[in-house]
This record gives sequence, structure tokens and C-alpha cells, in this order.
Amino acid sequence: MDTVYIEREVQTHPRTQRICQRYPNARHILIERHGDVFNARAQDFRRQKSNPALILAHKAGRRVHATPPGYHIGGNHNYYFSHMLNCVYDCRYCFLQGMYQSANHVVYVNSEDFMQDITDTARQHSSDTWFFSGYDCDSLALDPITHFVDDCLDHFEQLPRAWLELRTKSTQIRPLLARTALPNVVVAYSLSPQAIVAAEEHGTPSLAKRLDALQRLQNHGWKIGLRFDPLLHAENFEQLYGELFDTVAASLDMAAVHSVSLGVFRLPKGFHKKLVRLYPKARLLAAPIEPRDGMMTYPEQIENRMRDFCQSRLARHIRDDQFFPCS
Amino acid sequence: MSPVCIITALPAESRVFIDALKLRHVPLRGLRLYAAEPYLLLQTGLGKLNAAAATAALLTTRPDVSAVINAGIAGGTASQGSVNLAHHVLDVATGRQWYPHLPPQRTVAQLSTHSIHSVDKPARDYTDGVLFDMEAAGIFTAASNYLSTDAIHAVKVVSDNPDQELEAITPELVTQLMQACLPVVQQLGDWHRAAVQQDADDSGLEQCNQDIVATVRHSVSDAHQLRRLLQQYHTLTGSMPDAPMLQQLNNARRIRETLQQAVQAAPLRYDS
Ligand code: SF4
Repeated sequence: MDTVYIEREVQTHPRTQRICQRYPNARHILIERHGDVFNARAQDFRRQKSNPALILAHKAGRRVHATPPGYHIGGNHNYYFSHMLNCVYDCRYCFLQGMYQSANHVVYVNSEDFMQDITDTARQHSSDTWFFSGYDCDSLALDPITHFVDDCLDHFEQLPRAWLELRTKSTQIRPLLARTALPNVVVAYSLSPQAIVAAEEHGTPSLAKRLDALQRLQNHGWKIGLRFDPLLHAENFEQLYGELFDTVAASLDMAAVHSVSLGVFRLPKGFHKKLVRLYPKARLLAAPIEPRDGMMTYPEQIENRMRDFCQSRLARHIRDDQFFPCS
Repeated sequence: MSPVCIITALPAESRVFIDALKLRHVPLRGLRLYAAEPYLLLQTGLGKLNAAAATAALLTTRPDVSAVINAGIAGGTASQGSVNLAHHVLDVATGRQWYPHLPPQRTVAQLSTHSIHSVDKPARDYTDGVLFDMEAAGIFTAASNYLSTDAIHAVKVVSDNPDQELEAITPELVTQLMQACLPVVQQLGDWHRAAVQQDADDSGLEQCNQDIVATVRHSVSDAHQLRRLLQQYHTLTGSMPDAPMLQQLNNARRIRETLQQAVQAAPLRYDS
């Protein structure tokens, strides 16, 4: 990261100062509003991805949002929040590429406001409330810079009726291993067959590394979740995913896994169009998919076949109450 | 090869590039344009309006230009002769602003960056971190309709500051100061070319596309769909389809259907 934009409002925030100290040789550029840089038109997402800048900003307005329908793991009240926008990894299917103009990383340094909003939201409900992190970013990948995990866990420790899911592909688990596991936190890993990791999930830790991180977290007492999402179709789909499920089951204590979910590759139509423009040679985007309910996805027959296979194969390893078909 | 276009305002700013890059005048729509692979140089005349008009005229007629780099003199508090890259360009009159996506520091030798304020008349209220010029905003206004923010840059050498007055600037001094911009402009040009080459399409797709469209009538939308199908076919199979066979179908819809079937039948495998 050799360019850091700093919103004037957070210039003196302790987190801003700590992060800036990590990059003493970067260009430090003061800006008025992060949207001026992040949302500017005529940006080239793909070109920026090769040397993204960091934008330190204040998140004003709504910080906690209701999740889209279907995005849950059994809870009745479900919310997501994004302390960051964008991701250090470069998955070819990532919807963030379709959603944002810019590949720069925005870090909102006012985590205290996020935590207050989480508390206020949890208090609106008399039953358990779920908060999902990692919707617009990877929850852990930039943690050495943001220290978000510690801030967040300190807070959720005080909120036993609030559940937190940290969604990640990252192996930056040191802060989690350095503390006692919290009963209301699930660390959920997105998993794909290694051949797909290599071909489509650029820059991410290998499947073996993710499984190693999961094992260590499980041994440390953390609840873990497995997210097979997105499932990608291929001629050898059954072999790829069958082997994946068996490998995962052989590596982890499956009975203790908190939740397993899966979702077939889908993208809003507009996002898909933008991705094709960005990556016309991507294999994943060249495969036949079709519009359905505003989404681009595989033909229904293929989708059903994929789901059926995965569900029956997963059923060998998990109980029904652990399974959530689509997250 | 897609050229990088250097944009200057004045002959004294252009001289160093024309000499060092061996550029020669080329006639194009009355523009002051110079060229020698892999550069163009456009000399716009003074001020935002001239800069915007000439930049727009060039980019309309030369859509192959992959990047523009505005090089010129500017006033500020920095020392005379220091070279700066713009991290922000502000049109003082309208408040419009741009944040060029900056290249990695190593590609431009840790060059310092400034905010460029484009003014309509020469300014003397020098402020730290700000450079005054008269063209950058015009160039950004026009170029951002054609290029993305990583492909539009401004490199400015400080000509006047509180100690060296504006009135003392002569064409000879400008030419002398501009020498320092040359290596930076070349580094930026190299960075762009490397990125453009990475994206270059060497699949023969363009040729196949042109062959089909030249012989079988395609509407704009048909041609667009054809191009995407050819791309998909090539990505999935690693080869181009049999163009003469497709041409014989003699109908855009039939060509499309044939390609769609081929794409659907093409195996996509992920192997370790
Ligand atoms: S890890 Fe998630 S957020 Fe990051 S690029 Fe991949 S899909 Fe996107």
C-alpha cells in the first residue's frame, strides 16, 4: 500500500494515526470526503487492483443493515455491517468488482460507532440477533492493519444475546488464538476445491491453509462455520466437490461445526455485465449462464443438480440442523 | 501500439520532449500534434478552454491513445525546478475535481505529489501542498470522458514561488526547467505501456470477428453479441471457431446460435 488517503475528519483519530504509522513511506494525502476518491467516475477497477490505495474514513449514516432475504444461519434477526469496503483478494466471481467503481480499500476507523449501532440494534430485539461481518470485504485479511477483530470481540463479549459471524478466507487468525473463544462468535470460512482456488480465487490462501486455520480455531474452542459459496459448475463438478467435502470432513470435527451453508454462483445482472467487461477472458464468466429473477446464474437444471449432489454428499458428514442451503 | 500522449500548453514546454523523443509534426484537424512511436505530443495553447478543446479533439480522432500526461510549469511554495505529480486536480472556477489513480512509488522514483489548482489567471497566493497551473483541469475535464483516472496524469515543474516571481519566467527558463519532467513522463509512459501490453489481445479474435462482420450483415447489437460469443468460445476451447464455416451460414442469428451451441458444449474443467 503506497498511497493512503486520509479523510480530514479522522485525521487525528487514534486508529488513523496508528495505521499511518505502519506506512511511514507511503504518500499520505488529505481529502475532504472519501466518496470523492472512492466513488469518482471513470475509474478502472482492474488497473487499481494491481496497486490499490488505502482510504481511511469516517462512516456516517447507517452502519448496520438488515441482510437480504436468505442470508442467515437460522437466526430470526439478521444484520450485516462493513467496517471496510473491498478486499485484498481477487476472486474472479466477487460481486464487489461489480458493485464498486474503485478497487481501493476503504477502512472506516470509527469502529466505536459501529459497536454502538450494533448494541442499539441488538436491543431492539428480545431474542438473539445475528451480525454478519465480511459482506463487503474479508473480515480478517486486513486485520493486522485494522485490528478490527479485537475491537469487535471486546464488544461482543459484553453482548451475549448478539451473535457475530466473521466471514473470511484469510489465515490471519492470531488475534483469535490469542484470546479465549467467545460462545457467541462463529468464524466462517469460504471453501472451494483447490483447483478452483487456484483458478478463480487469486491471491487467497490455499484450501490446505484454510483447513489448517479452521483446525486451529476449532481446537482453540471457537465455533466454526463452513461456507461452500459460490459453488462453481464444471464438467468435473462432482469429483471436485465430492473430494472437497470428504477432505474437509477428514480434517475437522464435523459434529462440532456450528453451521454449513452453500450457494450456487449468482450475480446481479448489472454486476455480471461489468465483470465481463473487466475480465472478458475469465473462464468462469465464459461458461454458459442465464438471467433468472434479475440474477445471472446457471440454468435451473444444472443448479438443481449441483444442489442435490452437494446436499446428499454433505449429509454423509453433517446433521440436518447444521445445514443452511443458501446464505 | 497504443500511444501515450504528452500534453503541453506552450512551445517552450514542448521543446524538450520534441527534441529528446525525436517527435515530428503530424497534421490532424488543425491540432499542434507531434508524433514518434510510442508517443504523441499535443500542444494546446494557454488556458483551460484551449486545453480541453484540443484534448477532446485529439481523443475523438485518436481513440487508440491509451493515456495522457499533462506536463508543464506551475507555481507553488516548493523550490524552483522541483517536479511533482498531481494527486488531485481542482478546477478552481467550477469546483470540479479529480483524483488520478497514482502509479506505484517505485515506478516514479518516489516523486512528491501535490494538489493542482487550475486557475483562469496567473495566481500568486502560494500555499503549501498546492501548485497553480492553467490547463490541468481542462485536460482532465476532456480526457475523463475517454480514459480512466489511472490513465490521466499531470506532471508539473515549479517555475515560480514566493522567491522567484512569475514575471521573471522566460521561454528559455521554461525549456530548461522542463528537462526535469522528461524522465518522469517517460516513467509514467512505461508504466502505462506495460499495463496495456498485459491486456493486449493476441488470440486472433479481432481478426475472426472482422472477417465475419465484413461478409455477413450485423447490426451493432449483433456485432456486440458475436464478439462476446467468440470471446467465450476462445476462452473455453483455447482456439478460434472456423470463420469460413460461420460465414457460410450467411445470417447473424444463425451464426450466433451455432456459436451458442458450441459454447454450451465446450467443457469447463478445473484440474489441479
Ligand atoms: S475473498 Fe470474498 S470479498 Fe475478497 S475478493 Fe474473494 S469473494 Fe471478494
